[in-house]
Amino acid sequence: MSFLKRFSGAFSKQWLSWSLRWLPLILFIGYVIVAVAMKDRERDSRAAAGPVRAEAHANCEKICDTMAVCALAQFGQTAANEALVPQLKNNCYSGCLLQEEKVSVCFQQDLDCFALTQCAVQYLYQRQ
Amino acid sequence: MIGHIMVMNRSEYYALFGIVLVGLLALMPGLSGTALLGQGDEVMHIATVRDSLDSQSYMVPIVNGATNYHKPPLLFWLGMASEMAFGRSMWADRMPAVIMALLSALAVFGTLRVLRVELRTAFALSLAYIFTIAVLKFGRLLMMEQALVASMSGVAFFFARYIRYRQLRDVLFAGLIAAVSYLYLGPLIQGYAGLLLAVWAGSLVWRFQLDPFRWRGRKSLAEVIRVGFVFHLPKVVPLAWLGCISSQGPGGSLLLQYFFQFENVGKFLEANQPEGRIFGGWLMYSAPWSLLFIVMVVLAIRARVRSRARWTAAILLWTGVCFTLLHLLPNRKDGYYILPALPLVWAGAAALVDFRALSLQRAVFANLVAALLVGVIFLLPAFLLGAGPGYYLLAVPAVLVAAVALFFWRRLSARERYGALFAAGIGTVATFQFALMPLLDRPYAPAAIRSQLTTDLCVVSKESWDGFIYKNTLPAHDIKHTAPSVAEACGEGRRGLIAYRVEGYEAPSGYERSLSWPVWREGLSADEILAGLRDPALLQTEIIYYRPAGEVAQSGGGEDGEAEQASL
Repeated sequence: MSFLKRFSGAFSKQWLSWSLRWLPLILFIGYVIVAVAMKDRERDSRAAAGPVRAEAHANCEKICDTMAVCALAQFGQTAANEALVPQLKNNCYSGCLLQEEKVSVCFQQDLDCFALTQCAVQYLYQRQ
Repeated sequence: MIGHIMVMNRSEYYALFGIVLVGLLALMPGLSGTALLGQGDEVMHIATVRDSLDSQSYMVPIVNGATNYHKPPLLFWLGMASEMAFGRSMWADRMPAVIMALLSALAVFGTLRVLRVELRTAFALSLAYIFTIAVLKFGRLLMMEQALVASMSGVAFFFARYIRYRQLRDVLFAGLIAAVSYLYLGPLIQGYAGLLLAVWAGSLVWRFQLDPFRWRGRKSLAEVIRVGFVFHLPKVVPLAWLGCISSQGPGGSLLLQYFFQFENVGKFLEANQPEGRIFGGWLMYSAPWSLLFIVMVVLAIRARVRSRARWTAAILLWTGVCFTLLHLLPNRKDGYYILPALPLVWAGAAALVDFRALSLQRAVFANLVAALLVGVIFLLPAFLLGAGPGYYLLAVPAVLVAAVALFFWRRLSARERYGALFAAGIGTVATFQFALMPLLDRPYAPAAIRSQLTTDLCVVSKESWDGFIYKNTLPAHDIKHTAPSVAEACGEGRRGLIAYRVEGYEAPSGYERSLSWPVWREGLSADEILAGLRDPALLQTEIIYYRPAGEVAQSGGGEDGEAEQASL
């Protein structure tokens, strides 16, 4: 009995000492596992809903056409501004391919330019 | 200078010289070409260097006429200095990466010696580090990564010296390297170096005695605070840079806002990528030694720490472990994110294991089997695409060394086994880099057709950075870029059009198809690749050059002015 008591005491002390020594790392690993698991669950649900990449090019053409119309409406339909439209659309298209997944939802609705900008900014900056 | 940092004997000087020599031999060949492992951003970095030099905007790097707000300026400055010294070439642009790779390998050697690893082993491990895919890829590209690796290896070297010798000047050196490195990639290096400090501080401060309970780490608190203070003193460098940028009015503040929000915090907001990419990064970038390296790390984690040198090694190793865990948190996860931790874990694990251990010998055996398999696989494209004798001169000895070593395995001493793996591994990566990559290379603009292109060109493609590819490849030409759907952006009608990876593209009226040349298709499925092994043409697509109608090819064109096919 005395031996068992001493053995369990030594074991628990050893275990406690080990746990205490590695506690920061154990907590860090635990935090990473929980955070990764939560994000993975989110990723699965979004992957199911997200548009496929093949649609991105067509969506971006539509998005950039709309953006060009809005830009001309805001800055004035002058000859100088109209001359800038092709380059504007070109640059918009390149950036759009990176963000299309987030903002395309705004372009599926019939919004005016102001509401469209607000919607795009909201989706672009929202934490996923 | 080196003598002040580290007291060295003659053998160590020879070893440093050997590392530099082997590093140059491994990294320099083919540096100016495209037959190497690439990374998308490099074209933008080179374009920035050249645009900045052309417009004499030395202090604020620019690209396409606007400030380059993607990254801080130090890498661009190095690229500019290199072009100013060696002239305009891809070779000159990539030279800073070669220097950074050499510095990384030297720092690995220095760290191994600080950790009391025997000279010959430290030398061999430093050479083996040069031949990892990590260094062979990023040590040949104008990317921030190799600079970051060199900085982190430097920080680790000086900090390891501090832990062993307790000289505060080593902490100051480490802090200075971290501070200057802020100008490569922003606050990232501060986080990485901070992790090393945190692991060291944690192992000192987080110490308890149980019976009676006593906080033993308390007496180390003063040292931790002192070291933290000295390490952060050189932070005046990045603070001065930030102050300089933000003093440039609203534009400067916006630039910093963009940089911190999009380039740094943005990594947490992008689409979440699988965690396997980080672990895959360890496997891929430690190749051709991956299997041995992984077993080394596992053994090192379980190793007993009984001396100050081994404790220092353990701190480097655990920093690498925490680094890996940390990189699982942001949404963006690329394999190459592990690169700055590789030299730390490389040196830390090597200093903690016994290379005669049976489990390591087994890992060498497994690694040799892998080298043999990969070597045989590398012979396949040579048969399929009809490689010259040079290919076989590199590939066959590597396969033979692995095969012979495996056949006579039981008769070999431990040293001979490591020697065989060393030779087979280097042979395999040399085959990959200097035979397979050139064989598979499909240039963006083959030399044979360059003289037939108009001076003013428009690249039509879906990604705007493709324009940079041609800007860098054809520096004598004036290049514009446009998306296929807005071809009128290049609408002057006098520019030749290069349709780059846009299938089904139809050139505007007034253009006629003139040349075409093959490139590898991207995003192929496994089935498509298998089908392509029977017919390599299935794996390729065409880049098509349209010249303005009536424009006669500058030289070498067909005499009758008809379109011709470049059969390349």
